[in-house]
This record gives sequence, C-alpha cells and structure tokens, in this order.
Amino acid sequence: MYSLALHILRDPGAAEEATQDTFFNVWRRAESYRSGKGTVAAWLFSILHHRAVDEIRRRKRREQNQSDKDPMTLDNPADDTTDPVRYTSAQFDRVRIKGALQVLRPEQREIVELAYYGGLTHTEISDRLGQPLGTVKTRMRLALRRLREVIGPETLE
Amino acid sequence: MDCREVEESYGAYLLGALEKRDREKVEAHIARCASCSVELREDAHAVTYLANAVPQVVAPARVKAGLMARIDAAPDKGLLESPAASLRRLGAALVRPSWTMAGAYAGATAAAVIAIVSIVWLNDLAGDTQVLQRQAEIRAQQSDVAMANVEQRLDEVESTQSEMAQKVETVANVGTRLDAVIAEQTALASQVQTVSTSGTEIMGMLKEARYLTYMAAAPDTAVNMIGPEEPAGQTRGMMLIAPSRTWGLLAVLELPPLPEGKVYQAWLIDGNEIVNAGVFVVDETGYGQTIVHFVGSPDRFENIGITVEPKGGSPFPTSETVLLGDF
Repeated sequence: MYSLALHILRDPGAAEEATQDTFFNVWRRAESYRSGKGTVAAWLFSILHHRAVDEIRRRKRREQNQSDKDPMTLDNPADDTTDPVRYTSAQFDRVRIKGALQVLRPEQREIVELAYYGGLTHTEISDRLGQPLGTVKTRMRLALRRLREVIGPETLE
Repeated sequence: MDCREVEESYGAYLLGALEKRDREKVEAHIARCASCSVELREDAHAVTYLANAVPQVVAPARVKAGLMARIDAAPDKGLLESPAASLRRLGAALVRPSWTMAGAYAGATAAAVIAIVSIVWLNDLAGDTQVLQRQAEIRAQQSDVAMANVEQRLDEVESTQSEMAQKVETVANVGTRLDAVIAEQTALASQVQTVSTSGTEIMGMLKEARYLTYMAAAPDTAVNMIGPEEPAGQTRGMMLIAPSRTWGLLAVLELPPLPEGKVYQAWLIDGNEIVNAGVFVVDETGYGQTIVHFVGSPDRFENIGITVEPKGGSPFPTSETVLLGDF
C-alpha cells in the first residue's frame, strides 16, 4: 500500500499521509465494503489509488496556478535528474514496471502508465497523445481485459 | 448513465482516469445495476496487478504509529480497534454460533474486513512480530477447533461404516438362506413331479386292476382260455368277456419282457380278417393285459393272436405270433 502511494506521489511524507488516511477511513467505513464489489485487496488498493491520484491532481492545479511545469509522469521524473542516486533508482523502478507491463500491447501500456501511475485523466491523456477520447477509453478497457487474462480468475479470500 | 456508457468507461474508471463527476456517475450506476457490478468486479481484481507491480518499499514505523495515534484520538471509536483485537474478534465470531444470521453476517463481514485489512496492514508494514505471533496463535486455535470437528466427523463416519458393514453381512446371510430355500423348493418341486407322474401310473394300474376284479366277480362273465398254438413254455392267456359282450379283458401270463421300443399287440382273427385288439406291455413277472373292444359280436372271432410290434402298434402283424389260441 505504502509502496504504491510512494511510487505515485514520489514523496515519502505524502505517501505516509495517504496510507494512513486510507487505513483510517477503511476502519471507519468497514461496513461500506460489499463483497460483490470485488476482493478486499482490490477495494483497499482502489481507495488508496484514488486518494493518491486526487493528491496529484491537486498538486497539478497548484503548480499550474503557480507555473507552467509539466505534470510529473513516469517518463518525466522532474526531481530525479538532480540527484544521480535517485535518478538511477528511478530508472530501475521504471524498468521494473515496464517489465511487469510487458503483457500489454505498447499503446495500451503507455496509456495505463499515464493513467494509473501518472494520475492523468482520460481527457488529459487523449490531449497529450493526440488520440481520440473513445480510442483512449477502449484501450484502457482492452488493457484491463488483458490483465484479467494474465492474472486469472479471482480467488476467494 | 446507462449500461453501455458505463461499459465504455470501465477501463478509465478502474484506472482512476475519470474526472470526479464521471466517477460519481459510474459509481451511482453500479450501485443499482447488478450485471455491471459483476463485470466490474472481475476487472477490479485485474487492477491489483498494477498496484503490486511497483517496487516494494517497507514503510517506516512512524506510519503505523501515526495511524494508531489517530485512531486513539478519534472521538467515535465504533468499529475502531487494534489489529490484534480485531483478529481475536474474528476468531471468536468464526467458532461461535450467532443468534441472528443477518446481524451476524453484517458483524462478521465488518469484522472480517477489519481483520483482513489488519493482515494487509501488518504484512505491508512488515512490523510487530508480537502481533504476528498472536495471529499465528489464533490460527492455531481455529485449526484445533477445525481438527476436533474433523475428528468427530471421522468417528461418525466410522460408526456409520460399521453399521453398513453389518447390514451388508446380514443381507449376504439372507441371500444365502434364500438360495438354500430355493434349492429345497426346486428339489421338492421335482419330487412332486415324480410323485404326480407315479400317481398317474398307479391310477392307471388301479383302473385296470378294477376291471379284472370286476370281471372276475361279475356273473355271466365268459372266460376263454387261450393256449399257445405251439408250446411256448408257460405262456398262456385268458380272455374275459363282459356280460354286455361289447368288450373284454385279455390277460396274458409269463410273456417274456420286451426290449425298449417294442410292444405286444393282440389280434382277433375272423376267418380271413384280422382285427387289432390292442397293445400292451408286460411287467417283470411277464404279466400283461389289455382291454379289447369287439366290433360286432365276439362270436365272429375264432382265434386270437399276439405278436411283437414296434412301440405304438402296427396296422397289421409284422412278426411271428408268440401266442395263438382258440377264442
């Protein structure tokens, strides 16, 4: 959980806060979990992911208000270039994820990275890649179908 | 949003790529549409792959400490409790029967969620070994309970099995008895058959014996002795004629026994005409008899002869006469 938050937010403090928030809210709202919605793990991850993505978008809005900096993405790790060690480990991270995402077709992989790890909306992705919104949405669906095949059926917890 | 629109947006929704407004619309639809909800569930599971694909980092201890501090400070504890306590509660809920199914289910589900969340949290933080130990203890208790249940079931199964084995044996015994009874019955049936056959023969013999007695006792019974034309040992015969003179009884003594497939046949001779008078066999003493029906009057016949013929008799004599006598 913390790992995902850290990877998306790239800031330990923010990642800690997001992780704590998620568990705190889960404890408060345990009854809101419905087993029909999926596994508990999927539920937890989705709450954390939304929290992290919301944070990223908040930051972007702040930054856009302040300057014209590009939103941080996997392919554009703004802070890492100043520190060689962090840059190398960031590179390693990218390679690792790219390895895991090899199961996806290149056009799907790109979109998934921008959306899931980068926190971009489908509109933003469509603009950035110059693809029609419908195509972006379709590729997202296909990517998840492919992942579904790879993982196999959901097992009971 | 209708099902089609939601379906198009699944991917974006699960990847977190929808704006807040669209995300809320999708969630509202899923809450009331069972089929869309099921679809989503499968894909949601796939997203965990992405969540786990990131480099794994151990969270600093202060993360957990901070969380516990927030929980302690929370005004409304409600379901809030420590991971260890929630695990104990889950363990208790699993082995204790519940009074209301619905209430228990809700309680158990919430407790299960908390327990599982606790496990995820604990694994994620890779921390507190004491709590992990407690986890293991609870699992051991649960598995003891499960084992006791299994042993009890095994005892039940064993006793059922031995009952079954006894039943099988009983059935097998009954089967054997039944076979024996059937065999007895078959034997009896064939004995009855034999008896009934003999009975018929005996009745036949009795009937003929009656004739002899009757004729011997009746007045006006004519008796004609028949002697061999040529001396043939002790062979001799007797014709008893009934008072009505329409029939008679031929009795022959000391005729030799015949081989299988041969019978004696008697003939009445009237001048040139020879008339069949009946077939008969002799017993072990050489005695034989047969009823003779006279066509017309017996006075027309002068002689009687006996030949050896094939079983069932012949239309006319085919062998030498063994006995010929005046009638």
